Amino acid sequence: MIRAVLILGVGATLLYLWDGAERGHGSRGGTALGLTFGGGALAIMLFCAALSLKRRVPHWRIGRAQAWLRGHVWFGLLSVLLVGLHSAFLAGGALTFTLWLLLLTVTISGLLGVLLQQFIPRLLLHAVPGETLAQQLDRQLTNLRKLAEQIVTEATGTVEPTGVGHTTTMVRELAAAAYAPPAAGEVNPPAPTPVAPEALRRFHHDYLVPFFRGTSAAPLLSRRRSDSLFAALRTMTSPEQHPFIDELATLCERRRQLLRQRRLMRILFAWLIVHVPLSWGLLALSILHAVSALRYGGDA
Amino acid sequence: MGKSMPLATFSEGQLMTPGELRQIDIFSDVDEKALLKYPGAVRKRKFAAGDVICREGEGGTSAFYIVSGSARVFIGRRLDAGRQRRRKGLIARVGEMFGQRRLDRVSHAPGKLVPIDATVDLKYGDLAATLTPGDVFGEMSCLNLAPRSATVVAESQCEMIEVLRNVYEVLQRSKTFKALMDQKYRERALDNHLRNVPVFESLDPVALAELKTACELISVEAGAVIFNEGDPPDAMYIIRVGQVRVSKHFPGGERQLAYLTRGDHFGETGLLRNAPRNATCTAVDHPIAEAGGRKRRPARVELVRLSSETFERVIRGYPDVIRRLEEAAEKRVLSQVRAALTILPSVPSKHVEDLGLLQGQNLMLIDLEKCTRCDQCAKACSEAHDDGISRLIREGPRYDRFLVPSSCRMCMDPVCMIGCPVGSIRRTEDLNIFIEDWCVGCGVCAKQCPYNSIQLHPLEAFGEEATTEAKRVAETGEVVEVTERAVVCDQCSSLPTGPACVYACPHDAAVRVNARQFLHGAGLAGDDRSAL
Repeated sequence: MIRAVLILGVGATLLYLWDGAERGHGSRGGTALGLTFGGGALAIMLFCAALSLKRRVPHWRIGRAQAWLRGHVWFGLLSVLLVGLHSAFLAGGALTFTLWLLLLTVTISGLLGVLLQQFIPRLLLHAVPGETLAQQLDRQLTNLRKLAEQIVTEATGTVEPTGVGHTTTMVRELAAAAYAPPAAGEVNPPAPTPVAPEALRRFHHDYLVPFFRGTSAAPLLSRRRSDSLFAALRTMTSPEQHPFIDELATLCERRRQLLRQRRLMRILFAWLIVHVPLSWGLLALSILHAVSALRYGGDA
Repeated sequence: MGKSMPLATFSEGQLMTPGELRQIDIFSDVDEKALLKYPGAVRKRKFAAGDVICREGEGGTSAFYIVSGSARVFIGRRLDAGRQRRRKGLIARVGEMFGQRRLDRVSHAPGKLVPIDATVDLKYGDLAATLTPGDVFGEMSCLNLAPRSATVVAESQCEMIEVLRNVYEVLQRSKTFKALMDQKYRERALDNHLRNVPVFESLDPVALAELKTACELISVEAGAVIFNEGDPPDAMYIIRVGQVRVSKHFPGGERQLAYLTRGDHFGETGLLRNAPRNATCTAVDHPIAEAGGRKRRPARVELVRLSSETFERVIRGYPDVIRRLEEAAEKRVLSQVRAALTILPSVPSKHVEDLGLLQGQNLMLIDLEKCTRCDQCAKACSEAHDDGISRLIREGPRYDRFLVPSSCRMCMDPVCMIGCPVGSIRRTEDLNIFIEDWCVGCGVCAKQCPYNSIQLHPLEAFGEEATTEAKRVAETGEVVEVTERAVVCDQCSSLPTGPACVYACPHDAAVRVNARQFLHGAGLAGDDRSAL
């Protein structure tokens, strides 16, 4: 397919140059060759648009989806060249200028999509081992929150802290342990006296709730901070509670992964927000341009 | 996964003393001491017209013997009639004009026998029959804990004897009971079973009667080998009760080719070609019973045996039958050759074994480095089937950079086929697993599948309605209708393009492979890589 596109592209360029040399002032859209280039570009645009229709009937025996996508990309690129040859690479009037703008935006967004599709899947593979279906993301995030509450309730009897306020000494200690790097030679911070189960309840209230509610500045969003906070929490709780804390740490890691997945998937599909509507706009305006040019003999 | 199957309680009805039991014909020659050993294991039940005696799909532990009255046995759904297919849109209609079509889930020829756990079988397209005095139903539930295969509703005032396994086993040792059951079977089911063997379809009534008279009714213990690969052929068999595993040795190991159920036949290829047996056939127990934990006597598999002499004598005058047998044998041999091709010697890693990858003869893998998570594969699967249900769930374990989604792998040992109470799951000649539309949604196959590749969906998803009969009972509030049906990936075997999921993947990420060949070729089969 690439070879066919290259041959067509080189052939069209040579024809354009030959025609320009013959005429002395370069080829124009209104000439037979210019119209051929324009018609070719429009045909390719129609073919490219057909990809979205093909997706609606994936089982139809009209060629493999992979061949359609390759054709979409390579012939789509060829259409840019054909449009250039058709218009002699000039912006022209308002409509042709808009068409150029749309064509370039659609092409660049498409190429960006191709690029993103090359490396985001790899990122997802390695950065999100616990990847789930995109449709399941929200439900899974909600389930994680409920699970965290359940674990805290199981470990402490209730999720509500019994002390007043949440800027107590214990919480400040926790926060300090999480943010401050350990002193040179110090392996572990000095262990405060265990105050469980209140420590776990407060941890839930101050750290887990904002994290699971999606607060953007939640400290647990950072894996490093999360590890430090959980390490500090372990020092403040009795060993019987450590399995619960380990489970909570796992849930937090799972949530971070799912959030990472959501972020990456948004990036992966973001280009479509530009590419798809502008493609339809481009097609509609191209048809308008062709009709008006053929009917009235000029730019609309 | 399949729904739970609570076992019905055995507490209703009137307890019977050994003396009372001896008054009933089937107990007439049963040793009274044997009955005294199990007090409370037999009850007399009375049902009024319209009473539901058992419901398809639910668990059961007892068998029923009809003393008086009659009962209607049925699979409570309309199958091919009246199905509301998914509405076709404009694009689909235009496509059909150009030969583009969806997969039709119903591929079975009407007229096929639907095996149930009773002395009668049902006909596809009718799915109802009447049980009369002397009939027994629920034998497989009683002996093998198989789910109830059909709903039974009293048609008139009925008196029945409900029996638990221990007493039923005592009964099976009684000559009177065995003679009665054999007689019933010959009267009510054998004819259908013989006609169900495609090659006997065209036999005239005289020849069929000769076959019926000459065949023996035998039983073997679950686990026993009926014949071994390489044995000389001496008979062909039809399954009366239970299941039979067909396996074969290949250079790479033993392969389970199929699990056969009531009404299925085997062993005719050897007879026809006068060649040694080309596979081993073993009687198997029901998986639920095997998993039961408590030590119990293995169940018995009952067979109809047609000796080679009878077989030859009867079919000699029917060249058409011989031709059909030849064709069937040829297909079977080709299927075995295909199965042999899928085996390559390799030393699988622990992780590969844990994931069961090497079971997959047509394993679906998604290369996660190429997959853009566009879900076109699942959409294509849904679009390709006329019920609109996707057989593919793009979730599952990972191996190296591959995702192994929940989709049928065409396992070398299709354990999902063991224990279907209505024989609706079968393996086609091209090794696909196929679930017929008389599935009762009991979920045994889904539970048996180790890879979650069989899903249960509500019947509404298929656009189905219950039969009038089932509805009538439902209005009394006593029938719980079959609400689900199992679906499994059929590999889009009737689509010329192959599996729609692979055809629709725009990034060449989805592939269907023979796991052994693929992993071996990719150098992954022997590695002990852990999941990413």
